[in-house]
Amino acid sequence: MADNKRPTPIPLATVGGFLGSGKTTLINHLLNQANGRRYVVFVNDFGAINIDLQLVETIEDDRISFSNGCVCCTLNDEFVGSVAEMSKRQDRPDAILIEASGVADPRALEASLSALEASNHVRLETALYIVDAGCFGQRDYAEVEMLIDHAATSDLVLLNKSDLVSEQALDGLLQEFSVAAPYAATLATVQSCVSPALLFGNSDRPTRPEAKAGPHRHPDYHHWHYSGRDPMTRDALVELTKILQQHFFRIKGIVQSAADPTIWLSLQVVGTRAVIGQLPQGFTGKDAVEIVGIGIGPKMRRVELDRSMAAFEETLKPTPALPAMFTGKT
Amino acid sequence: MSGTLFYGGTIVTQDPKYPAPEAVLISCGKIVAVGDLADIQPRADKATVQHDLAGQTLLPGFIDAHSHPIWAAKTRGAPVVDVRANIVPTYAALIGKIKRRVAVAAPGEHLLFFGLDAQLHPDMEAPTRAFLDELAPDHPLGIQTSNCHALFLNSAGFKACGIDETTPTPTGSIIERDENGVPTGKIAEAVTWTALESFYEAWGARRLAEEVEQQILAFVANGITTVTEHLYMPFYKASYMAALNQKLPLPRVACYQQATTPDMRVEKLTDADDRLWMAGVKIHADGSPFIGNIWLTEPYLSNEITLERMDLKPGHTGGPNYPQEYFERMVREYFSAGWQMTVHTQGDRTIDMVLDLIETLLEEMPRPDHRFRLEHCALMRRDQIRRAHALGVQCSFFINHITHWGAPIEDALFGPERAAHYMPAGSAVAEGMRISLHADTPMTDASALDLMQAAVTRRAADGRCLGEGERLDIETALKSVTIDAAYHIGMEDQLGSITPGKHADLVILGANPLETEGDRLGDIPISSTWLAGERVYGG
Ligand SMILES: [Zn+2]
Repeated sequence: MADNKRPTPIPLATVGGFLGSGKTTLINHLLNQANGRRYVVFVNDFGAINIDLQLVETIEDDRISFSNGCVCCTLNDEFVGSVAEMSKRQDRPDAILIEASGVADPRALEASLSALEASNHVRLETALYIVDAGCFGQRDYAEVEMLIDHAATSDLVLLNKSDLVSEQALDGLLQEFSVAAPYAATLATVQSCVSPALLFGNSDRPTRPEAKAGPHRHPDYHHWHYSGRDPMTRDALVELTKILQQHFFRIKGIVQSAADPTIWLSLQVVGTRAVIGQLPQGFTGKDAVEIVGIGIGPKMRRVELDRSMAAFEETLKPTPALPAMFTGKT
Repeated sequence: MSGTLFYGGTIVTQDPKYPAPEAVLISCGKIVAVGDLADIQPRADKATVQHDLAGQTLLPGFIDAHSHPIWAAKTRGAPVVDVRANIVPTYAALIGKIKRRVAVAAPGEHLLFFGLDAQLHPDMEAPTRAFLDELAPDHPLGIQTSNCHALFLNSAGFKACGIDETTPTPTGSIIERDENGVPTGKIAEAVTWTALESFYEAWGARRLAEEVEQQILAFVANGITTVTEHLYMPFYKASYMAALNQKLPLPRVACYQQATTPDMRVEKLTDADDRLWMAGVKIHADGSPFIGNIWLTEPYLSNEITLERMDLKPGHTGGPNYPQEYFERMVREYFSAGWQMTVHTQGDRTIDMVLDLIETLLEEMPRPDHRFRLEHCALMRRDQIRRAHALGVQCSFFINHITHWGAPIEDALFGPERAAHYMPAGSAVAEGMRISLHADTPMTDASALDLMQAAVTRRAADGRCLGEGERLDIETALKSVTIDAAYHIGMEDQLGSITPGKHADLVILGANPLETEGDRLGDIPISSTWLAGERVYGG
């Protein structure tokens, strides 16, 4: 790669939700079962975090460091500065999670995040929102609306504590959220169990097998990889993206442009948000097309996907020129 | 009365006589001195507060040249339910929201939803009266479009507003009806705004006062110290007087009274402290590009959005709001009375009509400094800009159309050529005009920095740039929300720059906009806002 000096931005996700919805559980999972990854979590206050004291290395006023390399920080005025600093370090974090629900000024946080993204320090991967499915039915009108408005502007919604409601009620909730938050992916969870792959995309770093995973823990995502030798036009990539969005929550890819082979396009998709960009001049990839997809749920609709892909590849083939005798209308 | 001395930061005065002063002294609500700290410091007395800018940037307070504060207060905030597409993404989700609201409504409660959007709600269908009756058989219910120009009502809603088959359609308005004259659900233009009053009235004065206060705080939190009331109605006065009496930090308000007939009495508002005054008369020549009632020389595109969601015919070129003769009678009446005129114009054919009229009027009754204003100017052509400039006509651009609806403007409504010159602020400046920018609150949220960013980048929500050639440089964009906006409301001798003798309306920003990337202007923090010499926001 030509642009080796420029570090890849750190994947960042935000998590929101009412008190008791399961944000803390999610954070504890992440910190305690990092499996070799270094996570940094920003929270409003430490009070709610269940700290495994055996893991703690140092505690400062606004920062707890764990022996597994993870760090928990308070979300304060120094946030932008400390993220910028972390991203320059040798032992930079693999991913950052922000618990944003109690923030007094969400607009200020948004501005900070977009500043960090513009300066290439982080990449906003997922806005996650957790709903307590167990007590959704007891919420009053104002709470329901607030909750739904938040869910509708998120990328991924967890209907958490789904074991506390009947299957029928859960289906009803999934249906209700698919209408109210159509651009968010919705996932029923127990104990906020969601794979880091869904939150941050796949980190390049290999992970140890998740030894401590609990009994309910079958994988909640599936993986797909595609490579192709023929470059693609931007329009074709847009079409392909539309197909893949039917199957995957998260898609990443690099594609050589058919219009100008010196140009390489990048594809980033989270839910319904798709961004096609251009890699720095001078980049060359191994294959002309390299795409990975991460889908929600243990199984992929393989037959359907293969069929769509075959049809798509068909459209890429140049239409053979018709012999002259067939072109005139006689 | 003691004053305040500002120093220790960047001072952007917007007055070429004071290019880069070190200090500003204000006292008794006015700017007293601007210049070197050593010269000004001796003029401060013991009671003067020393305000160290600590590296921040001091500017004149922002001026929003076209807004509707009272209307914003009425339209926004509970019990109005916000269903704009950035919160409620689809029509299906919007209907779900209405159903949940109806389910908890008190008997007889008036229910109003704001933000239905044919361009941004991808599955939108125009709700019919019958459909809304099914949703809410017992409650007056209305859904207002995000462009504010149209309203969909159920039967109880029509009843509450007193509109039925016997009601004549007011000139300049639309009431859609069946073959028997019975309203079928949609009403548009001025009748919308009178109909909505019955909802606002039902919610009571206290709710309105609370929302007015919220709006006032929203303006000053964005550094805005002067607004316009661009659709003033005489009963608004009570709200404004109450806000002033309660010593709320009401920005200065230049009022433009709405005219829908030629025989309206224009209220004479004046205020010794320049807090509230009648600046002129506002008339709608056409409507909103998003519902199709603007007048064009070239038709709308034909596609699913225009034909189905907006319900237009192929080749639709719209029309003016009023019969031309009626419109001319109105303008002539108020122009000849000496008022500054401000006319809502979006389509280029409308602009032709208005410029023709202005030319005639100026021949009949020459007036050197009339500052006749055209508002929004979405599809104004380059030749029209030249002609307007020669006639002394001012243009105020609703630049947030680009950021909020850029993609549908290009793809669905007008195509790439017209989109590249939509809200042609750059052309207007190139032709030598002094322009202003506006957010038309409540249509979009008031923020002068967002306006500047929109004009400098012309970047739509999906990242595309609409017409690179129409972008402004930051310096011009800043003028259009300060000194040039002051010129548009006829107050350039009192407002819009940091000049001795002017009102001490100031804003302190966390960064100097002139040294900020165009696409980050909206992120600059507002540190504090000063109105008539008092700090009204921030620390
Ligand atoms: Zn307006």
